[in-house]
Amino acid sequence: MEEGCRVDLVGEVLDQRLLDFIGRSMGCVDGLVLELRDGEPPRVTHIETGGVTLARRLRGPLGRWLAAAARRWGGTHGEPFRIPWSRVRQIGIDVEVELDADATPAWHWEHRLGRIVARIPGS
Amino acid sequence: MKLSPRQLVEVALGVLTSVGGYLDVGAVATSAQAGAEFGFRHLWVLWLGTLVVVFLVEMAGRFAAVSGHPLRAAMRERLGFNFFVATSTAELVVGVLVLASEIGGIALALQLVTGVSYRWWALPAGLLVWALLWNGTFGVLEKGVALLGLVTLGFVFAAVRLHPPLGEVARGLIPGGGGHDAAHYWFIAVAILGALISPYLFWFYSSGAVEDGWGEDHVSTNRMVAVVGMGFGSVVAAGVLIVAAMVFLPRSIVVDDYAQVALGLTTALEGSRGFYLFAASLGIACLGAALEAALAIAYVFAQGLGWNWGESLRPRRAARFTLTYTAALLVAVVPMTLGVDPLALTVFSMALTAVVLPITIFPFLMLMNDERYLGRHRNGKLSNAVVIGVIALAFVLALVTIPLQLAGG
Repeated sequence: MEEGCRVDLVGEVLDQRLLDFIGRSMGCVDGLVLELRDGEPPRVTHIETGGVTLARRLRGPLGRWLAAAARRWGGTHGEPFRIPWSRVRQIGIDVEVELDADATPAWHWEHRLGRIVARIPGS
Repeated sequence: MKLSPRQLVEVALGVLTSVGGYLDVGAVATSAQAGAEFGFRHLWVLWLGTLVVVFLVEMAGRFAAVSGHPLRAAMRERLGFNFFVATSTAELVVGVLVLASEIGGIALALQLVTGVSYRWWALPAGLLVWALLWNGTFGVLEKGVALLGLVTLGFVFAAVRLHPPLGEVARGLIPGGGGHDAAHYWFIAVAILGALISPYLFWFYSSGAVEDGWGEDHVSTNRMVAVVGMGFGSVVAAGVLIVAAMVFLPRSIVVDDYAQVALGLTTALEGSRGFYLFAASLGIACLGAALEAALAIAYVFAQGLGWNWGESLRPRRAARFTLTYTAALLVAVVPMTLGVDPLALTVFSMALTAVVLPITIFPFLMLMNDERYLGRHRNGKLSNAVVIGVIALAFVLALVTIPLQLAGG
């Protein structure tokens, strides 16, 4: 990211599609982590993505159920998957990060289900 | 507007595809019921619904061509996650019911031809849809269904050969009431609107355009495809309505059973040709619609949650996407296997579609006016007004007539 440019966090970052370093879809920007600092403006430190973060955004039983499912079966053992803001390459109509989706928990389910799908003929 | 030969081919293919996409079990069932019970008096609902579909399909294509962005991803970006969860849940319920109706339509067509009950055909029909999705690419499915969909033109020929009274047909094109049994007349009007304005068609159409990599140069071909293709589709639906009005109304046959419909056509259309025309049209239209409806469910979730998706990817390259339509199909097969009446389910799902239209179409309209995605290609006032007007009408009618229909049995 360039220094000094203005970003509308809720309008242009939150809920945007997240693309990895070669443009593969690796989820959405499901949450943002801000650090509060004494005497200075807050600073965005991380982007969060995945079921744990989404579960926190939903109220009621659906959120609790999703949180439990993410704790039990998710790729991050109930911790949100965080991407340091320094890895954000570009914010446009999508948010691009310098990461390999294959090597992150973002594709945990894609890989697990992919192994099941691969056993079905014609896949 | 001048078109290059390549664009002409694209328009022709697009038109064929939209005929396939336009006509589904809902359009066949509701048009047939309308004709059998109220003659030509619902014809105006067909053109009104088609007008909105033309506008919405054009918008879905334009959005994809200009922004290159999946529509449902954009809806989440602008309206947030909670809204996405609420609309997708409602759409999932309605979508699975619609999918079940389409599978019911395929199963019934097979019942008509083989004599074996639709309950036994539901699972094989679901499997057929699944196998085509699993093995086919977007282009092959789109064009295959489009070509087969031409069978449904048989209804137009049948309608012409029955020599309907043109004066009465013309009067049906002018909006008006139903005379006797107003509640039922308006309920059928709602079901027709719900059947024509199917959200799955727009998600399918725009996702296909993204998959095909449309660019801004597609904006004008897209407009022609929407107008000509949907217009053509509505002619087929009008054909079904006119045939039903000519064949069933005088004999007071109520369309509450597809087998009866097919038999009625047999007497009217010189023997077995009418019967097979009906069975083939029903089966093919429903197969096309089932493919689109199943894919649309997967598109909604994949795009809203940022999964990798695409009908042209091998299933193992988009596992979450392919397993979503697989699960939807598995659930949709259940009601038919249990023996739920396919025709009743169809008309009910179509009316229910009209109830959820505002929560899906209005956000879509918001995006179409968003400069960030569309720049100078954003909506004009006319298209906004037409869509808002008709969707509001369908919603109000649905809220009034569905309880009346349920209360009246």
